[in-house]
Amino acid sequence: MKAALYMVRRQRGWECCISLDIETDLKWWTSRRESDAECLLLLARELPLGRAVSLRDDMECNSKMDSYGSTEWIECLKRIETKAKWRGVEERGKTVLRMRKERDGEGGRTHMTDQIQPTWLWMKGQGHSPAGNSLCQRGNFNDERDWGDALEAAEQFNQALQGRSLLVPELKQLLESRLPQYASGWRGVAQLAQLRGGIALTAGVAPAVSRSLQRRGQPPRCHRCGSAALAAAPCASCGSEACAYCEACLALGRSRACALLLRGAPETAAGIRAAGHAAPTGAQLDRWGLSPAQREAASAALRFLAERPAEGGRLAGRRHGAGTPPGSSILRAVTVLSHRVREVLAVMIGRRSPITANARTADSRQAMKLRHWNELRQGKEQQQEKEQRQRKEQYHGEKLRQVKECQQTKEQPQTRERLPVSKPPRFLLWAVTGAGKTEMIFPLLRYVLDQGGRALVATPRRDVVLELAPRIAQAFPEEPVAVLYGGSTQRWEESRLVLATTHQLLRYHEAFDLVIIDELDAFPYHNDSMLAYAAENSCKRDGSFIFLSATPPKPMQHAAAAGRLPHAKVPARYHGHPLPVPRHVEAEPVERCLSRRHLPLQLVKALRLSVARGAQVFVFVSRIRHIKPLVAIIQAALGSGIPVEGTSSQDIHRADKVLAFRSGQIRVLLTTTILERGVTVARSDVFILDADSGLFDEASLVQMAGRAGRSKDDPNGNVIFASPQWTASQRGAIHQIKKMNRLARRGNYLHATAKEGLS
Amino acid sequence: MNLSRLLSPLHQLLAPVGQICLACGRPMQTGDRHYPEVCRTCVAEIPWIRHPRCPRCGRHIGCPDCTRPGAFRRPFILNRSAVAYDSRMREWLAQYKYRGREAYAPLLARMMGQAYKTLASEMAFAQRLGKPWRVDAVAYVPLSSQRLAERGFNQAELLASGAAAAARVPLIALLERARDTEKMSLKNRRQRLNDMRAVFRPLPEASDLLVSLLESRRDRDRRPDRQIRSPLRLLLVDDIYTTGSTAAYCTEGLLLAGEEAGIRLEVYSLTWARS
Repeated sequence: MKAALYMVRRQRGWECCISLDIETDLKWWTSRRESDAECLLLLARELPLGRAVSLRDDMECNSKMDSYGSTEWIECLKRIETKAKWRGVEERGKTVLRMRKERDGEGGRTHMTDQIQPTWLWMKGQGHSPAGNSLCQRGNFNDERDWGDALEAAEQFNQALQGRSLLVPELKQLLESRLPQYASGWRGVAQLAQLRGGIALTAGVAPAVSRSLQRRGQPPRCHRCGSAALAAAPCASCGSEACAYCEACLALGRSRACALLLRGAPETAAGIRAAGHAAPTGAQLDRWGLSPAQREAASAALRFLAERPAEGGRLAGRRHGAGTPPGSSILRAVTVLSHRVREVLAVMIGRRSPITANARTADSRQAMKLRHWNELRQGKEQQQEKEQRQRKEQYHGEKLRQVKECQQTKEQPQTRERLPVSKPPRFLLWAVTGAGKTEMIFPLLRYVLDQGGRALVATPRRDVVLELAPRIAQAFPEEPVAVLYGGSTQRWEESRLVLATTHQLLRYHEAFDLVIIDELDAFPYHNDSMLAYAAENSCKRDGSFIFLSATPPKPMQHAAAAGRLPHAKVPARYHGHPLPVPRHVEAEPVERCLSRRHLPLQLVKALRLSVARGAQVFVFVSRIRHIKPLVAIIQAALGSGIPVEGTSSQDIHRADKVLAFRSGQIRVLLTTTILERGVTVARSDVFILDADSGLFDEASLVQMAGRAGRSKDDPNGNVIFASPQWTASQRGAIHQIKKMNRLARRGNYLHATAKEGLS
Repeated sequence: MNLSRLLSPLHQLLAPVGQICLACGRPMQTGDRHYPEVCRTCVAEIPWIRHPRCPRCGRHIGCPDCTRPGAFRRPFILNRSAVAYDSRMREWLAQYKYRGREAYAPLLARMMGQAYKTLASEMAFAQRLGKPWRVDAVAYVPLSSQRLAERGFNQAELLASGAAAAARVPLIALLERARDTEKMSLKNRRQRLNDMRAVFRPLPEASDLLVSLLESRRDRDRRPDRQIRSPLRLLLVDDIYTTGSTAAYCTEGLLLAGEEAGIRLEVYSLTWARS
């Protein structure tokens, strides 16, 4: 996509803007009464969007620009472009390019000077230039009514995009479903919405910035998912030869250097903290019917949420300081200093006289601009005088600008794109398997919703989303819940309560006051920096994060233990019985069992025992290919009266088989780690074969063991680790389970009857 | 634990460079010699059409289109395709064309080159030529400018570049797409056939290009008179051949350009997939 680039001189100084529809900008700056624009200068009519955005973001505006002529503007842009490099980008499709060049003769390379032609469009008191006039005459806004309609449209557009981060195809889908009347003319509406400050326009992929100290620089980054964008290809929509694109988030539409990324402003938080809720009392927790352990943890999390507003101010202050990268502030200081030194030297030599403040009269400024208008170069003396004045102005202006940057109001169109510099505070809810995590998040959601905030529950797995959806809908009957996953029909609905897979978070930007990530250690969220970035970005700067897990990753466990991460543990299950402790059974590897076509006797005995006591039996294996032959062997061992089935990620009937297993039609289910979490079966025993396999780490062993004994009626299931070797992860899993049981007993969360069972 | 934190970067430094198969996403030791982007299993599973069952449309299975009464009235000579359009190939094409994963581009282009070689050797054998069979230029099915701006690339052009590189002949743009037809996959056979008329037009400079092509061939060849009599042979490339109507209408467009230039044309169609 291509966009226009222009400069506007406002009372407080120059600003650089991009435009999707330059006519809208002209109208906005020139014919509103409250506009403080003094002149408009079009730098380029059509630039590849990525370049336009990087020019806009890196332009350091100063009052020196008042005296720029065409050549200076082009010089200025060139200077910026040399800084931004598309480094480390692998160019794909080179062959095609060569062909195209041959065909076109000297090749399709477009030089910068061809694309950038500074043209005055409008000046206060002078009216439109011929170029500006010709732009205005297309006549989208014939009278005030049209303009009023456009403003109305922009307002609706802003509302629809609040907290979103969308590429153009996604935007079109959203408009189709919510504002179909604007679907065709969205460019003008989006531009006006940007000018009003409701959305920020940026490019999908940002170029690397090479700083003087970092010689190599960083590769281009995808603005949407935060990954490095290392691939580039010739692009017909922006005309660039190497348009970088992001391969990491391709599944949600291609983010490339010339793709427009629209980001809605975060919802105004005015209503949220106004109520000034005190930390919720026990009465608010009573209605959810939580067990003592759940209740304690939920109230700890609620206290954490309630503490936030007081802390917010302090954090916000720190954030502003950290907002400007340290390198740039040093650079800026150095340039200011060098200007100062040069000025002083000039005065000492006597070439220049120090100027006084009253030289800056309105008249001279007006006259100066008039000269610009005619593109006349100034006489040498005037030039020098002006330079001096501007240097001084720049010195003060620089400081002013820094201050202003901090106070960036909503009206300012160019919200600079930066990665979030400070992370929202986090809280870990470490709840054992079967503790009833879902019930614990209800009071948290309620609290945020009551304060007028928006809440999100995200989980890596789609099946978990689908399972949670009805439970949340039941708990919050008055609140419409948007359930998002790949192929969801509710994708563009507006809702204050959102339940989504973690991938869907890429479509949000600073949208939620509370982000709850369930099962954060599950695939694919675990170890995926893209999804972590997405989750972080979807949370408002002053929002909070709550992680839920039965098996948090090691670094998080350490952080919790060291007190760096506020957390609450729920060591007991909701029914007040301890977790079943796994028992180790020495058994041959599955591979050998398969070749000998029978299972070790001990294992068969245990299986028969479980079936005889009426339990549903989970058998976990490490490899998908083991499932089919093993089903036959177990079937033979148990007799044909017991239905045995196997399922895996490659099984299209997986959902049906799980249902059949739950209802008892299947008694023994062989599976892989695919069912290690999220599945609750009333009366179940768990067998883990090849428990020493490298594919089963401590977390997944704990999760699988957690499938047993989940119901009140059968709280003591059996868990058996069958393996030839005793490994660290098995030991760690048992250690973790025993530790939680000890904590539960110490916290008096266990039933009296259950306590006796513990040694 | 501290030790492992120290050692793990070292381990990573010493670990072999992990390459991942573009198609199946599994790590692979060494890729295929000709198609290093994908693993050997994936290369082995490419459903090449080495021996088309239908000599006209190049289909690998029996085709009702060509056996129908009054069959194969197509302006092009014949069609050949690189692969059968099964679910795996559909996924590859979708990844490239709709998702925009351009890492597939060189792979698909090289597959096209392979398909061209197969076609050339088949033709040389069938026509009992003593010398290699060759085309004079490669053309491709155009996209509308709107679609091109949306997608950023023309998949047919890229595939054609692969064929042109293998044939060592120029890749030329001769056609333009006047308007966008709606998605072909939503239509039945008759609708498709009627829809495409007058969509593909020759570019204004097409006849000049054809003339210059003919001249360059004359320059290259020592025996001008014989060469003038033989028609100019063009290869038309597209991504997929379903009913052949796209290829037929493009061929009509090409023939129109040839007529304007007063040059006889022979058009062969080559597609990446045959459904």
